[in-house]
Amino acid sequence: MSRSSSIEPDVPLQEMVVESTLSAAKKPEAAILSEVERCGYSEDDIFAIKLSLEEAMTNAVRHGNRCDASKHVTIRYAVTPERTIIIVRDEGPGFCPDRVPDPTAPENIERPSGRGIMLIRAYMTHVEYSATGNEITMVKVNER
Amino acid sequence: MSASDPPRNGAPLQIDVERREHASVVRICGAATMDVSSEIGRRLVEVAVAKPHCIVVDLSALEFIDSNGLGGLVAAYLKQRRQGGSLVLVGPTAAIHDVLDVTRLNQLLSIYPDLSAALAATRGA
Repeated sequence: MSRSSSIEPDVPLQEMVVESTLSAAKKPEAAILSEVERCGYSEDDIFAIKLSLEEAMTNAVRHGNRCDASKHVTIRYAVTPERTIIIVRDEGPGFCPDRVPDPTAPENIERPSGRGIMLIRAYMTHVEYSATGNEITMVKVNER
Repeated sequence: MSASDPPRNGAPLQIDVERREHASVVRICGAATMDVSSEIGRRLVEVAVAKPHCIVVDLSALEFIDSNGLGGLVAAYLKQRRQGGSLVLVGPTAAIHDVLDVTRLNQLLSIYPDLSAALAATRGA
């Protein structure tokens, strides 16, 4: 997977592997947000990271692993005072994010689903998918 | 938040329904996180089954919502529209308002600053 220099982690990543359920996905979220708070990110940035992480975990559990609790979601992350890097990988076949319809387009605005990826892109500083489409890398730069 | 709580979990999601004038007022409090947010759509559609003239969704105490929770708002809005009713939002915090702006749901769903304004605007509508 090619990454731009802004996304390439320059600090060691911590790794957590959880079973593919939404309740299990809360554990890495708590760990990451605890670090984010400790590093002094703003309330807006904490909200953005929480929202993006939840959307990425939901996509991994529901769409990637298709709610198969025997599968796993792998989360790697690093939180520094400068930026937060989160990588979420599922065991699914992957997908092409460019083929996901724009949920803000007039013809899609009434769809009940399909807003997760655009929210991640809107709230994080950098977002990138692996070539296989089953891994997302998200970066939030601390603007403080 | 007690010391044993995981950080940033927010208050538990709570959804209360109250009949006010011509409307069913649904007050959504706490954090609609990924493990509970589907409850929003389930409860709102349940309220819509009774075909109220209007559903007023009070978001003033909602701390967090994910895309699944937003989808629940949209699903209930569509059900209300199909049956000739309406669904409006009240008092989202700045963070929730921003989510509605980013997703452009602010163009689909009417948003009022407080309950009295929402009730006045939807009375007889």
